[in-house]
Amino acid sequence: MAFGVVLLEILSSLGLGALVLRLLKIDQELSPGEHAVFAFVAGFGLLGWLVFPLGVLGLLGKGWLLGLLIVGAVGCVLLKRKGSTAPAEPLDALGWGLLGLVLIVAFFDLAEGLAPPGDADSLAYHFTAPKQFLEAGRIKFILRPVDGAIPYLIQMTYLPALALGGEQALTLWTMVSGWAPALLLFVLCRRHLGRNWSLAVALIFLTTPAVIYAAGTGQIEVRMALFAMAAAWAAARALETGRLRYAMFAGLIVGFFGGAKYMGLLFAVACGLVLLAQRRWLAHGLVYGAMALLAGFQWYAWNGAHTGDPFFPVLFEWFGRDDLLLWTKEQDHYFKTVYMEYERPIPRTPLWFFLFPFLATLDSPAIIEAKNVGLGPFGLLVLPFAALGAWTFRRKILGSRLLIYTAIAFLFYAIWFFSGPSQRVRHLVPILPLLLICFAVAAERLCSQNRFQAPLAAALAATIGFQMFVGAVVSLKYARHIASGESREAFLHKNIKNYAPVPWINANLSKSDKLFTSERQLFYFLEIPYLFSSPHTQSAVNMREDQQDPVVLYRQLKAAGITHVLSGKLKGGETAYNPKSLDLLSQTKCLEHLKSFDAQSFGSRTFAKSLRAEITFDLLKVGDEKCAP
Amino acid sequence: MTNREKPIAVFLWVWVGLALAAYLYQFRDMIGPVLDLLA
Repeated sequence: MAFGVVLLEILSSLGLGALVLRLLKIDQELSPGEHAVFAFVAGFGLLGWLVFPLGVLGLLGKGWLLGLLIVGAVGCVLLKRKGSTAPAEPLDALGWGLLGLVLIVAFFDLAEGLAPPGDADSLAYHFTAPKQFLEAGRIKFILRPVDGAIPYLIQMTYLPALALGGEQALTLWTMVSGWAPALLLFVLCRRHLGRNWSLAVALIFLTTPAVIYAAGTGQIEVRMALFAMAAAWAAARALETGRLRYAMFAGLIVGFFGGAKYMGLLFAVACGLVLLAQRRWLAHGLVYGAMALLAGFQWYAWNGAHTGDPFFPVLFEWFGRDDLLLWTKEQDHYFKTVYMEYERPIPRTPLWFFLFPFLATLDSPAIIEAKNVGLGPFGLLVLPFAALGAWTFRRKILGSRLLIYTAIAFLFYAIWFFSGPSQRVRHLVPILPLLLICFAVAAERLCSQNRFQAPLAAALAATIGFQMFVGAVVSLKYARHIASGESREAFLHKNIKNYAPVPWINANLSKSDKLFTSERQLFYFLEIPYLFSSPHTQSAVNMREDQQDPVVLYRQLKAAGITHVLSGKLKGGETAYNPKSLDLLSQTKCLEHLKSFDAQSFGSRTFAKSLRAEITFDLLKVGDEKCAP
Repeated sequence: MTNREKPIAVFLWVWVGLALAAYLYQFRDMIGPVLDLLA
């Protein structure tokens, strides 16, 4: 069933995209393979776009979603079957070797696709929001910054899979959509490189640590690489041909990118600036902007209608509503001064602008997650080859498509570095393929006349070898799960941080209860209402250290409708709850101890056995009004 | 390979070796957990 639903969603994306390519008349120059991959990109975005109106109208039932997929799949009749593809030569030994490695990666990723979801961000919102929308039959507004009131265009494509094929279809769909960027990268590389080189570049992308980390989860950066590549290609074609259809396609795709994440707006600016560098700048700029607006406006209108700020919480201090219990102007100020600065540890100066890639590759602060979830060693190892290649062939670069890719990627990086909300390196994954293409082509050209091939081959082999090893280590837990036939619950206990309280809570509390917890990775599994207790993301219950009054805490818990609090203590560590107000309240009858759970906390799911801590979680019941703290 | 290219080749070999070593050095604390996992 799950495989069938995923196949139907693939066909639907292909069909919807083929329709877009036909309407824009940009399918003529593409070979059948290129046409299918570009159709998938456009259809993937369009599918997410089309689910939004269904959600707003309260039509998120199985029938409507199945109908949408079937109607989209009909568009597959527009896919090209004949084209200008040159007859393929047989693969040589190196090509077979690279293909074998790609298949090994596919095996790793299939194991992840068949396992239950485990990534914390996916369980906090990428998968949880679609689940909530389906349960409600409509899109619900989630008032929470960063992972609540955000654009959800890509997550909208998760809804048909989850609704029709369940959790298995959802994880398989993320596997498929996580692989699509590698296919598009291969297709784009083939315009500049031979088959073996293109396979190697696609393999390097697939095994990049940040891609291994995110592609098979609900996280969207890898999937956004589809939009970045397709938009850069379309912008390049617009500049090369002067035709408006390519500017329209670029606008459509960056609109989808913006509809997927605020960061897409930065890319839209970068791509738009490059597109304007031509004689027909006004006409191209207008159609580009109009299409981007059409494709990307949905979630900004939705969030703006509910908070007053279309870019919530970026402009909340000026445009935000004053009647929101969960988000006040004071909370907004606290969030921006405390939380957001924490996300940007590197000074945003011109010097660090150039040093940041080296720092992120070699020795980065933990918060930017560049060590375990970084972009791998390829860029650093191949840098001198690419630089020498670019210098040697500098006259050919002018006017080349690769220069356009470089300009878009560089501008995006500059805008992201100086104005982005976070310096997490995985946010650069969308433009990684553009960097890989440019570096690979420049290095290949330098070494094409039997020069410097040995050190370049060593750099590529080291990159692929290291990254394949990382992929194998990360995938072990999924392969063991599949091979052992262990139950879903057993997998979750082993792989989800602090999962232990969930089964009891679901069995003993009801929809009329409301849980207050800081364990956001549990949201996906909770079958009762809850409120995230982070002091950064809600103002209804003040959990900051400076608020120490238990009476205030009790009053706020009651006002927010909280019936139970889940709070943990390190075994053999602290004996009091955090913050102090919660500890003081727990010493009164207003917060009664209901049950304790022994749980396991770990910083890494891959190394959960060796890097873990034992935690005791207490479930506390909020007393009625007579308790008087 | 021409005489002009030989020093460039040496530089590229040294770069690849040193850059790879510098990159891998940051994972020195992962050796134990990785061995535990594989065991």
